[in-house]
Amino acid sequence: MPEFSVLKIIDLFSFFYRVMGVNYAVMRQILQIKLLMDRRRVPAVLASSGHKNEANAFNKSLLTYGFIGIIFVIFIFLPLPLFIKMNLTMGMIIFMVAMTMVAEFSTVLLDTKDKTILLSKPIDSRTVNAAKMTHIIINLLTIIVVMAGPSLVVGLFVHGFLFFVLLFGELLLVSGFILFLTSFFYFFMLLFFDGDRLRDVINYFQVVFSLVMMVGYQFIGRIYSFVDYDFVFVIKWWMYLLPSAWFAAPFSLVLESKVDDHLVYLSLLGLLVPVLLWVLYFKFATGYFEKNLYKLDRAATRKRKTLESRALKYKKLYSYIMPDTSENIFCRFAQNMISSERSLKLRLFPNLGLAAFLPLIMLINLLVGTDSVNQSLSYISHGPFYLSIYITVFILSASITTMNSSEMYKGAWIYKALPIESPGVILRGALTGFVLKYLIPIYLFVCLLFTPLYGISLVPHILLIFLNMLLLIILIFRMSPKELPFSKGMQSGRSVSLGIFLGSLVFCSITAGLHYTLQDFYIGLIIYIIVVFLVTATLWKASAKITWKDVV
Amino acid sequence: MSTEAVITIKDLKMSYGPKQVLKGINLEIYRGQVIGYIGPNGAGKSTTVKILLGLVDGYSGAISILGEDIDKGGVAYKRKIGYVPETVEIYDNLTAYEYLTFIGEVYGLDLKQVDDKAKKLMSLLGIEEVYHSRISSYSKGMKQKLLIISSVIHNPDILFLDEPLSGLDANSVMIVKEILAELVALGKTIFYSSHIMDVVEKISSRIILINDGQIVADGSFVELKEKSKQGSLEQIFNQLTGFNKHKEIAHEFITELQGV
Repeated sequence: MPEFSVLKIIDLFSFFYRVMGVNYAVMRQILQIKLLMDRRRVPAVLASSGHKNEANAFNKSLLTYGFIGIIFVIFIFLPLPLFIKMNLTMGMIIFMVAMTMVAEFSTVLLDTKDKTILLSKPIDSRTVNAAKMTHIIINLLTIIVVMAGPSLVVGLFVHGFLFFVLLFGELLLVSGFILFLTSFFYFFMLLFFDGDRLRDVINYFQVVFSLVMMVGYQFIGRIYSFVDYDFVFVIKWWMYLLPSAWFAAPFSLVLESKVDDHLVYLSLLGLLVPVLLWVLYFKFATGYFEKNLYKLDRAATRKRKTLESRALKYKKLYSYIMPDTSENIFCRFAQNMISSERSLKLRLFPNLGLAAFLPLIMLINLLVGTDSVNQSLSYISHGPFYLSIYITVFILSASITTMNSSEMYKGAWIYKALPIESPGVILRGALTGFVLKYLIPIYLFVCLLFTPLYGISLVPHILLIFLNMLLLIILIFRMSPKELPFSKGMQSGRSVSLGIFLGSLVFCSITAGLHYTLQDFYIGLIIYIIVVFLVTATLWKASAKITWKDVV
Repeated sequence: MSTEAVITIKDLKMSYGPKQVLKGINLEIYRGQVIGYIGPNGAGKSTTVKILLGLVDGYSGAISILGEDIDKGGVAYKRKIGYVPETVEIYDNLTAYEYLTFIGEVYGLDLKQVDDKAKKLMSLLGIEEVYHSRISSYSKGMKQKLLIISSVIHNPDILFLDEPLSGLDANSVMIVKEILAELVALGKTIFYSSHIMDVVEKISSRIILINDGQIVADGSFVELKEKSKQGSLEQIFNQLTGFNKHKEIAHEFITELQGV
């Protein structure tokens, strides 16, 4: 078993554990196993890319956090008052670390399995709890060190040693604050929801977390243009509600020697609240929390009549689009699968979110830094900026291959046990279900963002882009290997092959180029629309001819 | 009992790589029989069932089910068979409602009809309150009940059951056994794989013992008993699979424990 250096650090504190009546040798062994299991888990930050090598996944996720940490360094160099700067830094650290705790370490916080395994052995519950707490703290401190480390080092050189000491102390307080925040969040959720709902909520957090990271990267490069240089700040009452302000105040107080009542009060809050929360957490919350954990393993009973009538309605609705009954069945099956398969959602939804917001982000980037918003809006509405919807098309179309994988891929035997003549109905039905439920609504959403700028004149353009998207989807579908939906493991490699990626890129560039040259030539545009429509329709029609021998 | 063969297997052979798991199985199964299909771990029981269901390819030999040669690629016969797999690997992120209506619809039932039927069957087995919960949140027994329902929801003529009673409580076991008895009375055929010899002994009208890819015994319990001069199916099983060292192994096991 590998020896973890973290454990050697904890060995230094073994005295405290012994004083508290913990069997340190046993606790150390439990921790060793837990850390080993951590190394084998694929972290949520990386889940969307699909990694083959599990052992490296953990280190890679630390690298990702480290990269985020390096981005935080940018805040130190911003030409802003120190108080605002530290507010931003602290705010970002609190936000990112709390998100990571919810997204990554829910398994640690919400572990109910360890009790049945450990407590049936001659190990007292104090030792088990100490191991759990230490494990959580190790995780928390690791993320904080990795994310805040770069700021700490750069701050040492830019602002001096005092800054370093101050930030270090603040980070310890922040970690207590975050620990309380995340456990309180879970505690709150457990009060109202049963296990499955809580897992859904955690899943959405993971999705949002991935999306925030993806979208965040788009803004980082332009962060300087967002900053208003002539900005004068005054401390307002609502700043007392911002935890980041509590932790930023001491910097202004100590480093700039600004003696201000508000700054003193804020600093005191920053000291008192986390200490109070630490005490509260260990005194009361943990016990209460553990008592409620049993809810996680309980099957919920729900009566949902509406679901049944809704399924009937959708079946009827889809029968107009799909004349084949089997396809209709697999269409709804795929929709149910996607909406309930959490690891699939974690891989899929951040991409869909990115597809929805990337054109918008590009527009915002155009607006920022110009003198007048009205001027740039009219500038945008006179140019063919709707062509940026092709980015959405690109991301959405490439996402269809994600449907092949599932955490429950072993359940795929059912396709063969059922009386299905041709797997074409499975594949095309599932594809149609995905396009109808996810891709089309996102596409319409993006189009809706552009309509205020262009008005009715946008209609032929979005129609053409839509048809091009369907064409690209069916091309990808026909060219990629015929894998049954949800039949491959999540770890079976990247979701999008390089060939499909490059092919889609070429396709989008060419069609967008063609679209661009035809934009003001309406007859040409209409002919183009008709041609794409005919080609797409023919390809869709002929795409279900797949035999069981073609399926891989 | 009629003499109409519902399943005919001729010289079925199957290899996984260099390892031959089925070394020529010949079998005729008649309507209304309850076949107790038994054998040690790795003898080829599950493989036989998977081949019959069309889950596994690459075998040699001829198999016909309900008069249809399954190698011809037709799937019509699958409408008339139901299957309870041994390992509970299903798409358990779905709810029972989603899973059962999906399966029922593929078997050609109407959505409304299968919904009502599934709900009724779930409530008869006492698990109607989790109809709209994820299957992954079920206990072992609930999952087993769901699998049983999913295997019979289309009213099949042949049932393949692999350890169908595992995880069920004593009362549910009685219900399921009674259901099986009534199905047989209706002329259905049941192919029952299990390691629990007592149950196989009681419910089977014909017992087939497979060892190392070959059939080593075939007949009713009474016939097997006469042939082998043993009192219980368990003893027959031990005798025919050539296993008589259970006492020595158990003893060694205990000695090892005591040594600590």
